[in-house]
Amino acid sequence: MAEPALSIRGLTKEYGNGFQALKGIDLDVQQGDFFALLGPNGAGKSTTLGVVCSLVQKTQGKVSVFGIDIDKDFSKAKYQIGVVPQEFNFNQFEKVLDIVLAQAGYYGMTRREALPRAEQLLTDLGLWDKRNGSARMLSGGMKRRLMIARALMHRPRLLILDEPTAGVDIELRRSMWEYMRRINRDEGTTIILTTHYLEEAESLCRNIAIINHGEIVRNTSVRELLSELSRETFLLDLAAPVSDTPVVEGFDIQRVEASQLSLVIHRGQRLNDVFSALTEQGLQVVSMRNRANRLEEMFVSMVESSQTAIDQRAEQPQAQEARV
Amino acid sequence: MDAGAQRDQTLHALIMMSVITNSYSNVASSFFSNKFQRSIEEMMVSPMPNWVILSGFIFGGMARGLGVGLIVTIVSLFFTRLTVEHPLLTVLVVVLTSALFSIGGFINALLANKFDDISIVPTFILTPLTYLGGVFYSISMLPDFWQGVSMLNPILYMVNVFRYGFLGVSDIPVGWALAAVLGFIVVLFTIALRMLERGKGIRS
Repeated sequence: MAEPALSIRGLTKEYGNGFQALKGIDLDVQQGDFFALLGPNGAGKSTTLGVVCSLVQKTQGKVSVFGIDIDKDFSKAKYQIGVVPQEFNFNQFEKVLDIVLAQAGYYGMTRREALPRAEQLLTDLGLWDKRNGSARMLSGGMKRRLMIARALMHRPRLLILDEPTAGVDIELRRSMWEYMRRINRDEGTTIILTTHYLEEAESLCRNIAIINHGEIVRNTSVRELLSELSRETFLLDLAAPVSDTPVVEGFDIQRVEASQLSLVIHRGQRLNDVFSALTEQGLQVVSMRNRANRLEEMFVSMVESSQTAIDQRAEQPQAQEARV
Repeated sequence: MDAGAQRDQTLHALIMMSVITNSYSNVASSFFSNKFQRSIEEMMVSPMPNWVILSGFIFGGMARGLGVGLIVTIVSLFFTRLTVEHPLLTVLVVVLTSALFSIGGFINALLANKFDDISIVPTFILTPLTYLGGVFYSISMLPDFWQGVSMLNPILYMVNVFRYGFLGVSDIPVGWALAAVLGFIVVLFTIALRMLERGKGIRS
């Protein structure tokens, strides 16, 4: 079996003030994968990726990129990695073309090699006509695309995208998704994505890890994760308003607004049964949608249960102390 | 000291000061600006060795310092006639001086957390050291005690070799002064490189 694109073992990061951002993370991302690393703010996603691309110094642990140990040959490993960070990190006063050409130079590409590549990437990402403009004049979405073009200049085999679509409008976000899918599918680039848009992770990624409080809570495929979804919440829009919440035995129904109900469906229950019961009560459902993205429901429940486990661990020593 | 000698001494001082301050400030401000805009991360994630990054900033600072020094020299030629006793030595010491202060500016920018931090050192350390380094006078004019104190000032050595290049006279042995400047460069370069490798001020 081919070496994983990224292999992390026992990764810890403790800051000078004693805060432990990562508590011994193990993670494998296979070559060609489109992998999501999810977690709430401050969970350790960016710290983990920061260690991989040398922006954060690890405290302990092993990290290998395509089998190259970063402690032994970080330079060689860096050739394999392209990074799109969460925040804009280019010189805002430089020209767009100069930014991508300079980046190519950092990876040893000559200007002659880099120019056609820059033209191709900037054209693909809709920035070629802006190439001679100052980067600070670009819109937020264009700046994000510029960082993607810059990261791809040296043809990395592993692309790290840290919230690449944050603050980007829906249309542009979807065109960026299509572009990412294309480079993953056509060029075989392994992609690791962190995002707060769980719809994005569900739509793009095949495998997923959820991190919370510096620990991996779950690491599995998106399909398997969704199959474990034990309940889904739907919003039902009614043809006419109701004054009381309708009661259907075995189903959890709440009145959200006068003409909108929320319905929780557990695994094994059938929507048809609800619709039949509501029809019998003279209610007509005109439309229906998920209250939240399916992965979002799973994510929230996992993060909540991981928080509960942490709280319990914290309470145990206190209870023992109280007994003593 | 006659008026001509005084004018020459002032001119040497102005050239040296422009080289020192421009080399230092160029690296300090450009590196700190990269830190501030986080564009330094472009280089950090790349496979470029740290010594290349450091050398790039140093050469940038040297280019600015030497360029400004050259302009000051050319302008001065409209007002006075420069005599250069040892041209190669003069060029060598200016190059070494700009290298040394470029490294100093780099270390300053690595340690700086805000824009004020890169102006404090030039204002409160560099300028007084320059003035007290025998730039506008010969240290032989000072009492013994202050001559001893002046010997601790690295700028003194550069100014003396520089002046020796022009006039053929120096307060201290030229070989010793050149060795001191080279020594400062090696030590500061090593410190700057170690700090960069450890990510001081740029890696969390």
